[in-house]
Amino acid sequence: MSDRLPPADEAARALRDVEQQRSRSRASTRESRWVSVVFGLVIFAQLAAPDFFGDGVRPWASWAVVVLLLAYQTMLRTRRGSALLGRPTRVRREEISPRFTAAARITILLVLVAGFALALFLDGPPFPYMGTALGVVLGGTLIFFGGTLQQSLNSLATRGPRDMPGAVHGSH
Amino acid sequence: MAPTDFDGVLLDPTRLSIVALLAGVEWAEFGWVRDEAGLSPSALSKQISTLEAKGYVEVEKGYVGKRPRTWVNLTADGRRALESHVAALNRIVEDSRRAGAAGGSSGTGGTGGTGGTGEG
Repeated sequence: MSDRLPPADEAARALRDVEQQRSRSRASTRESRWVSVVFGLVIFAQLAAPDFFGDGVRPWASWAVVVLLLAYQTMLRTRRGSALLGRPTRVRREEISPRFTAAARITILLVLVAGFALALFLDGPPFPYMGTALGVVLGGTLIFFGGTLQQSLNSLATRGPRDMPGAVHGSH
Repeated sequence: MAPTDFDGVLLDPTRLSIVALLAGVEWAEFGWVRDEAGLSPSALSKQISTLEAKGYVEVEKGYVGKRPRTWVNLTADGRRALESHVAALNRIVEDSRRAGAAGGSSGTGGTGGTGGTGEG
């Protein structure tokens, strides 16, 4: 089988196929709809709870979110956990663009800083039921557009073909 | 170029396609590979067995709830084989381009070599 060298056009076709398949695998991160629904409801509950039950529920709501995030992260790391979440693959870390990782970290940091700044300078919410309104917007966005957001993030997070080791354009 | 640069197992387009799919992931469910490669379960199973016998993929079977699942992942050997195979394919394409450019430039004085790494 290995006695025959493939002709150039066949080799080029094979390279295109390899790159296409690698792109597919990089874009394979997806999960079941119920995951977005659960996260959307939890975010809504966390933000809306103080409006209805007072500030005393804030720590409990925050802890519930932390527990949920930890459980989610733990499930993502195992095959069975990922299968429960509806994720058929786990994309290799090397496939994620370093620029995306840096941008994501900066964004998270900015959101946290903005949150702290608002908490420091605002003496109470500017209008009643602000948490509920925010919860509806954020939770609703996650529930209804979670899949689309994830696909957009996938395309941002994955490297271009020229960055890929051993792909069409290079070797190492 | 020596024919040994090529991996005989990966010269099969279906197997190359499966290995390329697995190259981007730590592991993948059998069903996902089947769908993406556009193969029937039995055809994929046969190809996976060939790749497993060669040491290029590992297969893990288990249950999620009561449903049986199979996960597949590329081994380090499989990844190396894919990379050297792709490098060999790249060399063929680059050599062909250079030969074409040299043929075309004999009358025009062109430089040829239109990019790509093409190290060999």
